[in-house]
Amino acid sequence: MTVLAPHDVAIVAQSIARMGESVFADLECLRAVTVAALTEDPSRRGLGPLEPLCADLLTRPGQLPVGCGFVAARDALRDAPYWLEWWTVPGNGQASVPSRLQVVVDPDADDFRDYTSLPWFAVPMSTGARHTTGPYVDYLCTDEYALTFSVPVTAGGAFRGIVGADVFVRHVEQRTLSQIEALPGTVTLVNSQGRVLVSNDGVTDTGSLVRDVPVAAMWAAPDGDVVDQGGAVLYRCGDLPLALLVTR
Amino acid sequence: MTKTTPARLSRGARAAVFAPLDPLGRAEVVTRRLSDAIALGLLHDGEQLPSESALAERFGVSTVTVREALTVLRQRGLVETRRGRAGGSFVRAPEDPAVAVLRARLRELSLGDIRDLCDHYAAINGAAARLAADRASPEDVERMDHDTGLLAEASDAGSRRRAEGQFHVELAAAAQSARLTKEEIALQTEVAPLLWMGYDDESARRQAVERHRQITVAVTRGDSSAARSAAEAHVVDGLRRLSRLHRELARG
Repeated sequence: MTVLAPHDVAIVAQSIARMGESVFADLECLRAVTVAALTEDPSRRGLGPLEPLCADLLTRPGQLPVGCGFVAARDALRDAPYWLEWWTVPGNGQASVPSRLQVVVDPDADDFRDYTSLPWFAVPMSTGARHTTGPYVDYLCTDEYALTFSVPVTAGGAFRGIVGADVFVRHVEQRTLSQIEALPGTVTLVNSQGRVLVSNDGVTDTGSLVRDVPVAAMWAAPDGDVVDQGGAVLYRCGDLPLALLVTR
Repeated sequence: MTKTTPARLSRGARAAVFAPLDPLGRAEVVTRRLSDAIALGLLHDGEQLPSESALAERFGVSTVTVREALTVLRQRGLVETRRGRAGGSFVRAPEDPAVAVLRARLRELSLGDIRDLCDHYAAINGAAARLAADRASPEDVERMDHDTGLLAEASDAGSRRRAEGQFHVELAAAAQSARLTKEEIALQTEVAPLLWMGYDDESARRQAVERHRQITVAVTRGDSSAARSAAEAHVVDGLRRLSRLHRELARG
């Protein structure tokens, strides 16, 4: 019989929470610089000060994000109806100079995608609060299975867009799998919908939805870091919409 | 080095290996180069083309080949030839260049090529639909619904193509597969514009909207085999329209 060690599970959940919070801390700097830039000159050129900060954020040793930047609300810039000031690195472990993401921003083009309806933009726009999207296939920026952390940007009392950071799910796995493997029992890192990031049980695939445990319903339970239901226990990763699900 | 294993290819596979690399004739290459340039707006409406001998020299082909290409372009209404002192060949840019270039490309494909493209596209879409039925969240389904609504409301060819493409990208993304999504996007640039060009026809668009609903309902129910069947049938609808259009173009 497996003996669960709840204390250890909670520690791993906390370390995952810290990982996410460090991304949000970086985004807080990026948000402040963006607000200043937009107040000074709300144009593509005016966003110049973002580049060195994004470059630093992506290339500092041990950094998790592979992409970050500012995504403008419709007509937030005076010289472009849509705009992504977004920088990326390949995320393959090789040191490299960040490059600016090129996206179709002409609303009349056939392959234009109106990003303002995508969750990483639409949710912070409507709630005014930070948001973690995914895991999902990020076909606009990275073409990879990713998480996107985003924070709304307001200036002069109006919503101007979001600052965000992309993180590859495989990088989250690299940083968590050894800890999760070391835990006794079946442990799966899931989002608030029960979408799997990584599991130690060998049959629960990344990207699948946990269906035998009602994760979304457990998530809606009153506050508390640990939710126990019918033998399945959810250890929340702080305030992130991520949790470790422990099943027998 | 490891010893080479004897090839055990079927006759069909061997034939594919040794298939001609460039099936297009020189006149067709010239035709395509010029019609693409017209469609892309590189050659403007009313612009005079260089003389036949100058074109032959530039392209490195014979004047006979150039004449052959110009005849085809004239038949397609992309070039007009005027006689007399101020004569020559003049560009006639069509109103919707995208459709014109698609028609030109459709002419060059064989019915077998079209079927093969659709087989590839149906394989990717069918697999995406099957996996999406297993893995889609309510939010994923919401976006698919939203895109179906866009297709139902689209008023011009461009927004129809865009709504159609967006639905399929969302379907592949709902499968949670980055590779299938990338493959879907890559294939879309090649096959989707052709496949959905028949949307000028209102009944074709209604049929497509209905297929999108079938796929979305099956994904919502978690019915992976129904999702796959509907996605494959959707591509076959396009294939039928496309081969009909191809045969019409061949009749001239």
